[in-house]
Amino acid sequence: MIAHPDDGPLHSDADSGADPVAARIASWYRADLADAQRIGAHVMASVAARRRRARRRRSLSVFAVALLGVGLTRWLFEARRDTGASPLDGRQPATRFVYVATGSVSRVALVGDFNGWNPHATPLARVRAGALWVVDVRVPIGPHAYAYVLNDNRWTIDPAAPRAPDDGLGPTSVVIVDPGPR
Amino acid sequence: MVDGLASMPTPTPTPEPSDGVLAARAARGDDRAFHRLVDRYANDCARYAMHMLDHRQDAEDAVQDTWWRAYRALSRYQERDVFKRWLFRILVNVCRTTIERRGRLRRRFVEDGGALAVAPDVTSDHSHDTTFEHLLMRLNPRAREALLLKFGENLEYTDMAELTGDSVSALKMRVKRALEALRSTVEWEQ
Repeated sequence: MIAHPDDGPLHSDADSGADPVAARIASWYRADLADAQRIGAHVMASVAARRRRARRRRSLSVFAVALLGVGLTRWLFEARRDTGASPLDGRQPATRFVYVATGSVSRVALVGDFNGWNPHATPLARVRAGALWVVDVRVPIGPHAYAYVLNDNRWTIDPAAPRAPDDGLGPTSVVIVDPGPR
Repeated sequence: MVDGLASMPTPTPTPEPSDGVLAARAARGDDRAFHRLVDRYANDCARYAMHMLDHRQDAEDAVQDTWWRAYRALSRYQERDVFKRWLFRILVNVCRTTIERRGRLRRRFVEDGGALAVAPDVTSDHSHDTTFEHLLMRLNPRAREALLLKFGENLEYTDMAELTGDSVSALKMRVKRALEALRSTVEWEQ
C-alpha cells in the first residue's frame, strides 16, 4: 500500500475523535505550525551537506587505507623474505555465505555491515547453474548483520540464519565470526 | 477552428510517481527523486518531532538525522512497506534517543533531586497557552508518543506496534491512562 502525499495521517481509526480529549489532541497536532515548515525546508540542504562531508571522509579513508595497504604489503613482503613464511599465515579464514534460491533468480549479492551495505560489492557465484549460490568473504571477527539482494532489487534475509535485532531499517540476518580453533 | 480544437485530445497530466518508485530511483542516486520524497514528508516529520520534543533545535536535529538515516538506508527500503511508516519508524527511534540523551544530560548536571523537581523545564522553548498543552508536554514521553501517533497521525494500534516495537495491549493501556490523566484537566478548564 502506498501512502499518497496528500493523505496526511497514515490511517484512520473509527474510535479517534470520539473522545473530546482525543479530538483536542488532534486539533492541537494539526494546527498550523510555522516551525515545522521551516524545519522541513532545511532538510534537503542538511542531507546534501552531510553527504559532502561523508564523501570527503570516505576519500580520506580510502587514501589512508591505500597508504596502510602499501605499508602492510611492504612489511609482509619483507617479513616473508626474512622468515620464508607465507604472507597469509595467521590470517582469518574466509567465511562462506550460501544462498539457496527458490524462485527465478539471476543475480545474488551479499550486503552487510562489513561491506557498507553495498549491493554491488560482493556478488555470489552460482554453483553449476543450479539453485545454490556461494561466496567466500573474509569478515572481521565478531557479530555482523547481513542480507542478500536478489536480482539487484529484492532484499531478503538468510532463511538459514538467525534474525538480527531490528534496527528499524529493515530485517537482516546475523552471523558471528569467531577466531576458530587455536 | 473551434470544432478542431474541441476534437483534440486533452493532454492527460503525468501521474505522480509513487513513493516506492521515488525511493527506488533515489536509492540509485537520483537526487530529484529524493528531493520529491522530502517535499512530501519533511513537514509531517517536523510536525511530529516538534510536538514530541517541544524544542525547535532538537526537533530540527531529529528531522535532519532521520532523513540522513533514511537516505543511507534507502537501498534497504522495500516497496511493500508504506514509505511514510518506514520513515516514521526511524523518526520515532531518533526522537526517543534525543529524549534519552536529554535525560542523561539533566541527570549529569543537576544532582539535587529537589532542585530538579522545581526547576523550570529548559528543554522546552515554548510557553504553552493552556494547562492542557502544558500537561501534554509533561506526560511521560512514551505516553505522549502514543497519543501523538494515535490521535495526531491517526494510526491503528497494529501500525503503532509495528512502528514502536511495543505490544498492542501495552499501547492501548498507555493511551487509556494518558487520556484519563488529561481528561480531568479538560473538565477543569471547561
